[in-house]
Amino acid sequence: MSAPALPPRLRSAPALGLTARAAEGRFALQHCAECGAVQYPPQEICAACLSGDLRWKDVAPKGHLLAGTRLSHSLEPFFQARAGRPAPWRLGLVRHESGAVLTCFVHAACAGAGPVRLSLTTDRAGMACLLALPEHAEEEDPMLAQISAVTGRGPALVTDATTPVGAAFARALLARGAGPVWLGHAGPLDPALAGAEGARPLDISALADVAEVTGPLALVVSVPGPGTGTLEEEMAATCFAPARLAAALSPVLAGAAWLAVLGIEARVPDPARPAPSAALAAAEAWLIGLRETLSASGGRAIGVYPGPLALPGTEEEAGPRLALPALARAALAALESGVQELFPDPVSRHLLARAATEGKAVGRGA
Amino acid sequence: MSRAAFRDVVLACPVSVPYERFSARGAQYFIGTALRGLLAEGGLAKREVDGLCASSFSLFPDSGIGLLRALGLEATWLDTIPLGGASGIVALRRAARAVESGDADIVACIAGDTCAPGGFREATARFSQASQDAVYPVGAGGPNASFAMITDHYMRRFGAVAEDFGRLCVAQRANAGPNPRALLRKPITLEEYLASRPISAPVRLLDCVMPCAGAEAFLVMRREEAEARGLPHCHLLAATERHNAYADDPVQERGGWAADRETLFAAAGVTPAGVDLFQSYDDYPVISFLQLEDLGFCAKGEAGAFVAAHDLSTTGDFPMNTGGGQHSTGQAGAAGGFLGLTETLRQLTGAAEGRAVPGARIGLVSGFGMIAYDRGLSCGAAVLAAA
Repeated sequence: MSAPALPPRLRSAPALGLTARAAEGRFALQHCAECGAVQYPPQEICAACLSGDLRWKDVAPKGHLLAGTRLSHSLEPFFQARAGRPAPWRLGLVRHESGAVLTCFVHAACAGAGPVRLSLTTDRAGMACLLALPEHAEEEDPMLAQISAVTGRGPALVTDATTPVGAAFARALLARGAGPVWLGHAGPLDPALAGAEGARPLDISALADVAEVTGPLALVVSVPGPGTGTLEEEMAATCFAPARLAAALSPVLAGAAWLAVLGIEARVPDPARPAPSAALAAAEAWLIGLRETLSASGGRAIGVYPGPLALPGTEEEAGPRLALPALARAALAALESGVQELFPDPVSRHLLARAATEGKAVGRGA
Repeated sequence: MSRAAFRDVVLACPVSVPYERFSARGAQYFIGTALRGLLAEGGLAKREVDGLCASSFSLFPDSGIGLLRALGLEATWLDTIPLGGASGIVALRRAARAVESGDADIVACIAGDTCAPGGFREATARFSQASQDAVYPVGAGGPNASFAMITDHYMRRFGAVAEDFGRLCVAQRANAGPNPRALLRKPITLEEYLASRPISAPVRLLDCVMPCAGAEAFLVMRREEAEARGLPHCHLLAATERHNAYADDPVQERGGWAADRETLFAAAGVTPAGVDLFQSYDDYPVISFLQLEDLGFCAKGEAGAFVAAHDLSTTGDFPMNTGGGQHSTGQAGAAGGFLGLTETLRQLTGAAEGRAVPGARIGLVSGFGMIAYDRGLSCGAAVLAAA
């Protein structure tokens, strides 16, 4: 099978910074730390004061559409194959509040010059793209849907639906009703889940013919280990099992999304829980490799990095915990919006922000 | 002396290597063939050319020195001008200062490029870091979409309509009729222009220049050198260049010409009214409009009315793009930035067979090059006078 046409992936090193922020679902532009000038496209050095200290800063996603075009002819196969079907590509120059003039895809409802809401997302190749949207309207634009077509809608597989996290995702996917949901299990499944409409129990202890059984998949949700095991147990559940399953599923993953539920410990290790921290870090490193593999077929890999989860048996423990249905909802929404790295709760976002300034020292000492 | 003024510098020996839509030959062939043409035209031995100024998009991996070796030249002066459509004016300025100062006696200014199917995609994908990062990813390889947005802005801001641009395209194509070097010589009507298919609306097919292979060249030397050799020539009265002008304009609606126009005309000792023929850099009609306005032929926003009110033919009241411009000849890469100079040199030396502007004494040539993601960055202009 030849690789599908994708939007161009070539970017300069500074421009990859935009993709990094898009992957996190942020709207950030490159600012000069000395004079504050916004740089677009991203640069190595400030065009105003020549400072080399350029940083990414979140800004309000507001701008003004200045000029536009409807591209009917493109040299790039991804755009040419679709040009005119269903409509020419609407492109525009949008002046951001900061004064930077950005190249954007323009929503059909943005008629003429005027104020727009901006969105930074990832395209079908997993690279940053900017969207100019109407300030209020909510209707979907088929052209914009084509740019970021990976929604994970279709047949789905949960690697281990016997775990609480896996079961929560299985319920959310069954409720979504976008296709059959394969419920991976090596042990007994909750009978209510296994018997639900659309549910397809799948014994993942026999990997040899798993791809033939499932057929093409749109989404795989991999879940982490219990978090209470030995290093060997956590590595086996969080890292080795998903990696082996991905290898077995590779014939049916073209264009698919792989959503890996990890934990914030993948980024910020918890000194009190070295085994799950190490396994999650290893799983993230593996996921980054899978992302590269999937991107060649227009697929994508999404990492989810929650803080403490409201798992059974944690009801008495202190501190905020993310409810499992909320985790599943947030992760599936991220999939639709092009986010590739989701920090779904205040604790994970807090630890990520601290790690950005304090590095791996976060959590040590008091 | 004004930075725009030149003293006793002339251009001679206009050479155009016939254009081809696609070619299996490389840029070296087109540039080398142009040099051969210069030597034949000037009755020169190769060793008499002691300076080379080259422009090309498709010479990679060679730069100027690799080209010089391939052409078997020995030189005391070598320059390369990677400025696309501004290359001609800037090459002329560099070469003129070289002969003025005595760094070289005879400089060959040559622009040439090849064109292969698919080559244009490769060239545009990595045209610049800004275009690679900010316009290529949205499918807008090549300049069509960027110029479409400039056109859209111009139409909104100044109330221009498609017919305004169409009249210029129709007039230029009519001028190409007697030009044997033009790839596109069949006349077009305004109706055909308006009916041509959208490429990147509001830009239509007939707004777009056609990439091709070819070369343009001329010699630059001191007046006494040309006179001693008996070479037909024209004088360089004045020339300016300006890069990255008006960078704070949110969308490009003027170019560096507006900042330099007074300097240019003062140094040349002429006024816009004294210009007998004008060659704009015509990659897209909106850019020709900016030049008409910024060089002082009409007020900002009024180029459409100006074009409608004038006869742009060689016998008209405002001869413009007298060989049909790139819109008719094709755009042979960087040679597109030289086309206005070779055409004007022919007009001012009585060599524009079949399309001569009667009694032409003063020619104005304009250059424009290097689109970033949203605007062209380099502008230049030169005033030439018949000897």
